[in-house]
Amino acid sequence: MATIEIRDIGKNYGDVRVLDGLNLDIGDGEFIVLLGPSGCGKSTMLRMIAGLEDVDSGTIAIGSKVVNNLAPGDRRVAMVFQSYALYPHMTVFDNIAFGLRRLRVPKLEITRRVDEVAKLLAIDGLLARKPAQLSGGQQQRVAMARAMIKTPSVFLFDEPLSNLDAKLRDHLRVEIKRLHGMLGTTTIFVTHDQLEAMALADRIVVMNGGRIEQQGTPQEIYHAPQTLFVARFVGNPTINLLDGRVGTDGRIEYMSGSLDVGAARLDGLAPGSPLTIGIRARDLKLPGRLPEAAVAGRIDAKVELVELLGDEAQLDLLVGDKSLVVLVDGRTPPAIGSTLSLEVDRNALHLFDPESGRAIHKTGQKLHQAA
Amino acid sequence: MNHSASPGTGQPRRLRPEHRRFALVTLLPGLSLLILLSLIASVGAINLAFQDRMLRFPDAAYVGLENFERLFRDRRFANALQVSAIWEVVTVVCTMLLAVLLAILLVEGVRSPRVRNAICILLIIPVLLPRVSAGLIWRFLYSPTMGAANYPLTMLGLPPIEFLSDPQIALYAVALVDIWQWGLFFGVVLAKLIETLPKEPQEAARLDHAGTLGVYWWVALPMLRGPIIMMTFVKAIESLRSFDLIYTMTAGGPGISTETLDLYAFQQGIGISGRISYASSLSVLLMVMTVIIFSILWKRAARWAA
Repeated sequence: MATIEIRDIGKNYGDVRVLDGLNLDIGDGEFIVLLGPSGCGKSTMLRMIAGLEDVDSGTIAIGSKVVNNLAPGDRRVAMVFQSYALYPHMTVFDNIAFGLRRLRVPKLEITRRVDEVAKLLAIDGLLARKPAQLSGGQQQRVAMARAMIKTPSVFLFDEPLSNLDAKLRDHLRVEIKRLHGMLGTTTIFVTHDQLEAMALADRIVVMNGGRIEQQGTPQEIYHAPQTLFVARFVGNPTINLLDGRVGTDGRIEYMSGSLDVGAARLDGLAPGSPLTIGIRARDLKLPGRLPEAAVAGRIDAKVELVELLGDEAQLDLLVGDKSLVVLVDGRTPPAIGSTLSLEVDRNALHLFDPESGRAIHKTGQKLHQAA
Repeated sequence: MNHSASPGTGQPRRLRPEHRRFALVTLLPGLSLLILLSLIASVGAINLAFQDRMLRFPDAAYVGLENFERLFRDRRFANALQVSAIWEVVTVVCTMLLAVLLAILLVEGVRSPRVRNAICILLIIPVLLPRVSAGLIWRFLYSPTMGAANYPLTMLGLPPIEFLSDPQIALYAVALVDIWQWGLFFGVVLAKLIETLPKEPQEAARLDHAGTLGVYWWVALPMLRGPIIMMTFVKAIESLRSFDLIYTMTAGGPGISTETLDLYAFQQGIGISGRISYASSLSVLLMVMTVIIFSILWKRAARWAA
């Protein structure tokens, strides 16, 4: 159990600045997910917390003790790697017991504790095997057992599910969540998979180019993205973006029409100034699905492609030369080639300043409406 | 790397007849060359071993096992056997120890890959030297009057050590040259192998309370067990062929203190004695011994390396 305070940490690889003065506070027992594209510095940050990378500037404190110069083994952290990182020449038992043996824990206690965690992770039948004889999912369970047995104050996960197939990934994800609920250990989990981030996190930290773009609960990140980057990165399918301009009377002009978003939303913006309009695929509705008061406007679009996904169907639409993606009920999808007049939900519109990429809205208000 | 390098692992695959024929045809040229070069000489040596041929007499007769019986009563042979055994153990063990320590030092101590590569190239040079050149260079280094090896001692006013003239030291002084040549080379090979290992298990070990040396001892070196065993095996075979180095440095002396089996065979057969049959019997015995010992080791090594 421990809090983590990260103050102004920076890291360079040669001339490349991979982390640029990052600040982050993590509460005791919190489940934090670092989310971002590859190369955004999230893994580097995790490895710096683990002590596997040197800190170039700033401080990292675990349990209010600065650990910058502490060896990895002395930080009371445990890490689970994407590649499992098991010791290939040792049996599962020896893998799990390795850390305790280095600490000279008595033999009997080691056996007892290994049995305990092995049972917890349902690998107690595999203790005599070598890693090469295990499936990917089993190997990752062994890696988790090896991390857990040390009763660390912080768990670090570096994309632990990326090498597994989809089904196992879902399964282990639930397991990690369950274990966190049971142990309550402070956890930092790195991933580039936004679904994983949404499912696991108490708080998501979205990173880009060595900086934090936004941090917040999964709801905040999804429903109130503060930058274009976050809006684009989170959500599947990717959010639809249209170029527009501020019109008059609380309206926004875009290429083929206008949307009424209310004067309050555009407060302080000069008419004619450019905007980027973000609409999630689920927030564009077929006609008649929204109460009239919530309709900000209609977009006429031609159906180019219909992909059935099960419960839903994904439509690829054309508006002028711009393509939109919409999710609709999968039972009665519109025909290819037909023209739809899609209704835009006023409460689900995201507006961004195209220059700075920052959102134009009040976060609190937005969240309230979304909820 | 580690798996393909290990010998004899896995079941032999059953070949289809046409594939078997192809394999035989392609093997034939190489095999016939081998038979021509090694088998004829070996058969010749075995034939000689049962005669009493000497270089100064034109005739010879078959004498059965007499040469071998004499060998077992020959104390100089016993000495050569002992010297060979010491040589083998000392050069193999020290080469591997030096290689492991050097590899760890290279990987841990030299962070910049460019500098490390440059050092590696320098470290390979000794093994590229012909044995005779290496032997001569070290003979000068060891020289009590003008050698660099004694320079620090004489600077301090201590008497010089006569590395190659002291029967207690000479064998080890020569062995050092062999270790210098091969230990540095194997150190580079091992460092390159360590570089190819996945980093994560080593990082996991660091998080699991293993120190720098602990990471190597518990994780990195065991992961390279196959290649290390194979290198040891290669070195053991290489150490058998010490003739050129010892001959240029001490020629078996002082006395017979560095006379290995091959040197003794040479002295008996080609040297002043000219007892070619006796030398042949020695060679044959040496050959039989090596084949037996190394066949056993080969099987064992295959199992350890797996």
